[in-house]
Amino acid sequence: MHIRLILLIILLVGFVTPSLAEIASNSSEVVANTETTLTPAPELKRSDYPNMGFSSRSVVWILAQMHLFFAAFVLAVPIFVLVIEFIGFKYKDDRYDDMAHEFMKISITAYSITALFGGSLAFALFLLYPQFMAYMMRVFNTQTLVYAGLFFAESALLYIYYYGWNAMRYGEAKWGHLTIGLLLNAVGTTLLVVANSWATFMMAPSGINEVGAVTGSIWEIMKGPLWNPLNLHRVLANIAFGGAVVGAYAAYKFLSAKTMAEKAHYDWMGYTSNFIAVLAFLPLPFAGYWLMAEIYAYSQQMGITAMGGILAWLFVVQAILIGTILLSANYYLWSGMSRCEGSERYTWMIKYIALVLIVGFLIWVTPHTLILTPSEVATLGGSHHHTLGPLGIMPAKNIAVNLMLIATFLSFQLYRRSDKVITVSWAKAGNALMVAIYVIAIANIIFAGVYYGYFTNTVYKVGSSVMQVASTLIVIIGGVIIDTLMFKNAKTLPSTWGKVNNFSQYALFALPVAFTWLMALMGYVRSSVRTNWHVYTVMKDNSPENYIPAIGHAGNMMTIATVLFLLIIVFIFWIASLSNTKQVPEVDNASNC
Amino acid sequence: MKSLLDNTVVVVLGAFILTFLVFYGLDHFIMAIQGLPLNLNMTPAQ
Repeated sequence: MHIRLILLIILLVGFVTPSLAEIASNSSEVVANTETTLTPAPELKRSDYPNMGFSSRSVVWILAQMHLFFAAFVLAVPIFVLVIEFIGFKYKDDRYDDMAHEFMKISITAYSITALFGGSLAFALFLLYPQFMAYMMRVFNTQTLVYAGLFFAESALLYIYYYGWNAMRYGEAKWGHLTIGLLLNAVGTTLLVVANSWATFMMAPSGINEVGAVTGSIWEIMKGPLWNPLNLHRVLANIAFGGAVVGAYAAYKFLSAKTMAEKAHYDWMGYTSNFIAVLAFLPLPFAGYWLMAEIYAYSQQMGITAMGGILAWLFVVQAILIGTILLSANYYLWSGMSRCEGSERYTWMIKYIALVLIVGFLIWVTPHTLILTPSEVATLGGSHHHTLGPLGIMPAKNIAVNLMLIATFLSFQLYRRSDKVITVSWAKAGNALMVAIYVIAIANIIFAGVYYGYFTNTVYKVGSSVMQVASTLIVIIGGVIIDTLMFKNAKTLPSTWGKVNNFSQYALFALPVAFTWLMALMGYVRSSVRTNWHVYTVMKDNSPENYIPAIGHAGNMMTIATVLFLLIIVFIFWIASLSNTKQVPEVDNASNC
Repeated sequence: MKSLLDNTVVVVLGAFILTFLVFYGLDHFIMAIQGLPLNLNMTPAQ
């Protein structure tokens, strides 16, 4: 019965998706074949924007940001839930299955809120920016129907996946359930990349001519130069963000747990969430680097607006938020080491890791230029500080970021090793190789940053940052491979889940707060680089708010969105807990007598 | 061979030399594919 149902769904998804794609493709061909009627992008006047008596941009900003927060969360959770479910199935461990199911419970409540904000955003855009939306509809045409079709498929799969969990829990039926999970993620990721194409089209349009008339197929419109960098960046960021949010749920449940068994369960859940968040976060700066490099390659002016103009200071704020994330994640790992007595072998290293993190953090937040009074300039002897000035430019920050990531991975590696006694015969060689990789990678990062960053020309400065990224990735990938091989037949020391201090749980709360703020911040930067264009170089924004908002105003908007999201998330946690609560019937004392 | 692998100095030196060579080769490769070749002493080549 279940197998038939699954086959039916697969057939439906397989049938509907290509059909919609075909409609979109056909319509693009129609557009391409009628080149004689090429219609340029409209040149808008101030009167083309309805005046509602409030800030249109602010309304759209908040709604778009809220939609993005929730969409990121609900698209990310099923990705790692599927992995956890598969691990539970493979190792026949119901704990994994229960945890995956509980993660989905949080996500399912957020799903309807995502749709509510998505619908509100669409209404707001059509109401407040009708001409712009008319142009976007003309460009993307029936692709929007494909998006709607995918959304239906996503909803159906999500509900079957969640509500069918216990009905398809064991044996062959579990394969069916896993297949539904896989389809859910395939559809969810497709939804994400389709929506990304709208954002990247606005930043770096393709498939149109210089006046905005559609000349290419829908595929040419979608695959602009920034599409794939943004796709990768958002998928990774979403997983890190989703992991952080469910980590906060686990912390909330841990702190309110009444029994030791409950504490142990939510401690383990919190650890898993932090593991997911950190693992997805480690490669994220490199994905961001790729996106930024592609922005520079597409338009130097756009790149300089982002990193050298008004928005440059926001990267200092970004450093503070990422520093918060790294310090919180590391602190959580260090605290978690207390679960196992074997961790005593490694605790002496924590102070050195903390030192690297703090020094790296301080270098990262050091600005290049400061707003100074004439007397301050005179005292300083110029606009740059003699000693700290060199720390304000990218080579120093590249060194700092890479070393902070390596330090975080070391914490993670020590945590994983703390409950194991390695027994393989080549343990000495394996450890020596691991130490050598750390030492030489760190030396390589510092050499590349200092030598190519300060003593050669700019081309080498940029090129050598790839060497640094590769060094960090070798540490991470090499560490995972070496540990996996060394842990074979390792003796496992007892760990006591639930035996962790409450402060560590506050670190799990700090993570989603910093992640949410960071997403709001960088979303503002990404969107602002278009300056006064709806679609860069093609369709001008002539609305009353066609300028990059001041940092103070942007800070307020980001904070409103962040606080609003966190409040709704707390509501979702409460709803998720409410479903486990069962009222005990009142005892009628009179009838008993 | 087995006794050589039991010698800590040999193992550590071997691990460092091997890793150094891998990173050295990687640095040359990464810069070369970007059109920025290096001399043997890691200075920019013309």
